[in-house]
Amino acid sequence: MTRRSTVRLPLAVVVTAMAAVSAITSGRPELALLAAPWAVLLVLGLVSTRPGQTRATVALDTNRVLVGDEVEIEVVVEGPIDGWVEAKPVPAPSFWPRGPCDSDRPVTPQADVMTPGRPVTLRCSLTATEWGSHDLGRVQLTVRQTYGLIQWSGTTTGQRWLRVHPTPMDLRRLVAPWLVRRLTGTHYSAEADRGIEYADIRPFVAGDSQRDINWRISARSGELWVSQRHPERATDVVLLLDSFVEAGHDVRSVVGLAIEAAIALAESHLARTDRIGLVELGGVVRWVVPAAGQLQLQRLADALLTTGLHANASDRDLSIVPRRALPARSFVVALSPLLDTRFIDALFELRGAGHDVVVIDCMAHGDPAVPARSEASAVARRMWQAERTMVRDRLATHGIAVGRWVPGNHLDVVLADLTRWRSRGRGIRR
Amino acid sequence: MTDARPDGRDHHRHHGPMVQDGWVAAGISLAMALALSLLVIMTTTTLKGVVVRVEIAAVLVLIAGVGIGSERLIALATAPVLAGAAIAFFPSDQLLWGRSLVAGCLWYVAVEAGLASIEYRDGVQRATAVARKRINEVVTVVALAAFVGGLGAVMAAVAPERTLLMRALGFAALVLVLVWALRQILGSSPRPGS
Repeated sequence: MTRRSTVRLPLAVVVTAMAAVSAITSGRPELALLAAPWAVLLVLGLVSTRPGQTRATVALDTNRVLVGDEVEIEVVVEGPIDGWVEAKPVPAPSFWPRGPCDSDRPVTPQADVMTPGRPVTLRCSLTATEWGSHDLGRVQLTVRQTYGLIQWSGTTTGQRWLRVHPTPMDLRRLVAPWLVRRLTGTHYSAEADRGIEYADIRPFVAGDSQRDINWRISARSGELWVSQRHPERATDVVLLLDSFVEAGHDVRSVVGLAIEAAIALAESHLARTDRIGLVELGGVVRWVVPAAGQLQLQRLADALLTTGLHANASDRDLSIVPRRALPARSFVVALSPLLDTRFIDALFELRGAGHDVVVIDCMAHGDPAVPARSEASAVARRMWQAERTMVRDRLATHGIAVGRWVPGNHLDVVLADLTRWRSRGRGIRR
Repeated sequence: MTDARPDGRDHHRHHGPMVQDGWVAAGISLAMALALSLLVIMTTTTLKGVVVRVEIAAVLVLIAGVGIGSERLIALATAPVLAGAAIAFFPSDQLLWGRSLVAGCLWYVAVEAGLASIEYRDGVQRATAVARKRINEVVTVVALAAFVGGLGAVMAAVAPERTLLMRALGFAALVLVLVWALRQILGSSPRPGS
């Protein structure tokens, strides 16, 4: 910790010196009493100074919260100093929304008395306002010695990570994948086999179960007919997240939408016994291999919340992603503003490889900040919108449904649009 | 900093109303400064006009320091206050032990209260024990100063004649103490700690 004197120490020295000099030179000793309290303060303060090391521990009461929740930071300080200690949390810049100055941020430092050899605990509460993974381990400490002549200040250096999850979104329905796996699940397979959902009827053949006989039709026709049903199957869902950075847009809010949607989709698909994975395609390519269960949800949330936004000019594509991260016949849900051509090319590549692909267009939430004051900017905006329409049409011709997330709409509306588009047979099933 | 294990005890304290404490401290500071000024002005027998102006200027500087939250301005007000007191007390024929001591203590409390009113504005939530400790410190300093002052007055009454040698010895002792104090100040310059 850095040691420095407060304003009291030089003041006490100067006042004592001036009063003593004037008393001695004038021969009026009582003039020295004008500085008597300062001289006493000086002696008491300097005598009570103790060398030694101050130690501090920082702990969080939880390591996962939702946006809007409070997190308590506990700081335990111990040292040889007799005085009081003040603790002020200094969260990582990503923890607070962008603001003009620190005074807009609700941090209330805490102070309490400190005695040698007895730890003092200070607790500060912060409200999480921004999703992501944030380091709250930095705490500014100021220790002031008794009589306030000397103070020490420093900052803790340990890391304490807090994961702030976006506000959970309840999804009432999901987009039904075309391709499913052989495992039991909740999606209706296109095949006809044992299940609940009615598919078709056919004549009875040797080996069919008597339970499958459709007695009503058999009675009418005079022959035995059996009902066929769509079996419920599970599927592999891969969330494909676009983390390429494009200048001129509010990238954090666009990627934030994508992450909110990804977490909501992951929760819903995992609840339906699907296996879900993640591939992040951007400046950095990362993946989480598909799996099921609550632990997988935590892995995905951790990976999503630590998404980095990187501007990268190199060619990054899916060829470096291992096969187990993108299983064959997997249902790929892409979350992207559809701005980077590398990501769009990756979508075509996936479709060409036989994956079932849908896209949730997160950029529909807002156009770039182009002031439409002049004709040129209005033309530029129209051209930009026409380009985006062309991209969506190109994707549609290859059987990739694009759902536009319009401001104010719930994700359910987007998923319903995608389901409607796919049910009209516009896609090319394989 | 290294890690320490917490003892698990609950150190929660009651946190008092900080804004009101700041106003109270500012009021005490102003009251002490005014009391001191009145004491000095009433004591002065010569150069009364000068003393009055000096004391008023000092009080105004103190008010400005408390108002804008400047510790240095509050400290700066000490010079004219004590200078005015010295000018007021010096020409007197009587020994003014009591008045000097009271004046010194009043100004010390005024400065401490002014500094406290600035500290209460920094938004820090302080436990009540911190305020109690600060008050105890001020009371301790004033009480010890009164004791030392009384002792000084008694010793001066029975002390031998103050010759030049005695004054030189006193001056040398003072210089030694001040050098020691300055070394403490210089030793407190910023350096990387643990």
